[in-house]
Amino acid sequence: MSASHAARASTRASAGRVEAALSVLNALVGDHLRRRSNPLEIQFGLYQDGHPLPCSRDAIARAHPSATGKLCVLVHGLAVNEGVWLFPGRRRRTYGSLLQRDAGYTPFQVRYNTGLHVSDNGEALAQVIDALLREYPSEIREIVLVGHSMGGLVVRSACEVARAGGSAWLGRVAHAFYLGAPHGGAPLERLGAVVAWSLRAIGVAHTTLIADVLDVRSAGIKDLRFAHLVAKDWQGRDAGALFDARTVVPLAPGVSHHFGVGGLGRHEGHVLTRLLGDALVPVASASAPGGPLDGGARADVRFFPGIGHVALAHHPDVFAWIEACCSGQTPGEAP
Amino acid sequence: MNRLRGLTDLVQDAVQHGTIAVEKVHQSVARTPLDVLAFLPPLTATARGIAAWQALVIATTYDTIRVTSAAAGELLRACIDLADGARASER
Repeated sequence: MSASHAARASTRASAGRVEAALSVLNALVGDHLRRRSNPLEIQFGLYQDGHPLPCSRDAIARAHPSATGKLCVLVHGLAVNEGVWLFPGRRRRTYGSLLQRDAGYTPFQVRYNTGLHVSDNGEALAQVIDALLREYPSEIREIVLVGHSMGGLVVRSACEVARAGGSAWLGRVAHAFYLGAPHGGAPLERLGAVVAWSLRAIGVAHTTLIADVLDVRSAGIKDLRFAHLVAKDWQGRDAGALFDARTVVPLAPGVSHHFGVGGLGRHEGHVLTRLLGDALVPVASASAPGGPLDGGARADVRFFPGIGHVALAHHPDVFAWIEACCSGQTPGEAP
Repeated sequence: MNRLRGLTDLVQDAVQHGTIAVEKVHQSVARTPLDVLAFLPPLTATARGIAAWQALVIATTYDTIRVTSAAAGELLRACIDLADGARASER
């Protein structure tokens, strides 16, 4: 390797570390960054090769000279960016690039401030897909949405925005994949809320200080407690509420919904899987639709033994399932 | 450079909010024994006087930290603006 190649690789690695650190920062205090108009806030948008991709006809045509009428949009989860989709040791291989190679989909990846409310990011995603529909160089016939972890909730929230607003793009969504998405809420966040509430209830200055520090966590993290998908779940409500009072949001009509569920154990009944799920999200939460199937929506669940939460975003077995679903086979079981 | 500005703002916000929260605890802990002493009639006036003086010293200490941090933030922002200007004129 020449010196200039090594220098470029080192610069790329440093830039990647900075972007990763910013993603974590946005997850923790992203709502604060937004309120203060802090330049460290990540702006919602399409990204390619680590750079923003403007949603304009020219930019899309330049990025995808052979754009097809089939799109896939990848939405990452909490505290990461689109780098989570990269297969380990492969600089360009993602579910998007594989779907492009094997099934002719044109891939798009979003990056966003995961510390904002899921409903805010859902609205932003709906607007970006709206803009894609307008600016795309050819006619869009089919859209596939893939959301990992919190990204799955953002996808559902965007679909709900599109359903309520009558957006044309929803009718073109054929498949929505939710990989380790906490549809039934995240126990870790519920634990955090209980601890903060208990420390505050003690009423001693020291414990109140710890509760204050715990409560600094972002709105996005707090939304994971009960998987809030729409704004009315949090507007005018106590951010530290310990009881589930969320709106039941039906799964988007006319779409095949696929729930990819990871588990640490070798099978679904394994003690590790039962206790820890995929290490962050329990099986019951990742496989529960959390809403009725209306208007011809279909759903199936696929369990992936031995695959942890983060690995769900870049695993050959998961891709094989996604590809099979997109090609008309639907292995898995009804939720 | 914009990110450096953002980082400066964030650190300053953290210092401001952090000192306010810690000051509350400090004031509360320091006041408790004097509040107890103030229940004893011969010591009431003295305990209250010491409590007021102590509260003032604590508040002044934390105010000094906040003012120093704000001034350092302003200085850093001015340096970033200067460096930004120099880079722009080089181009």
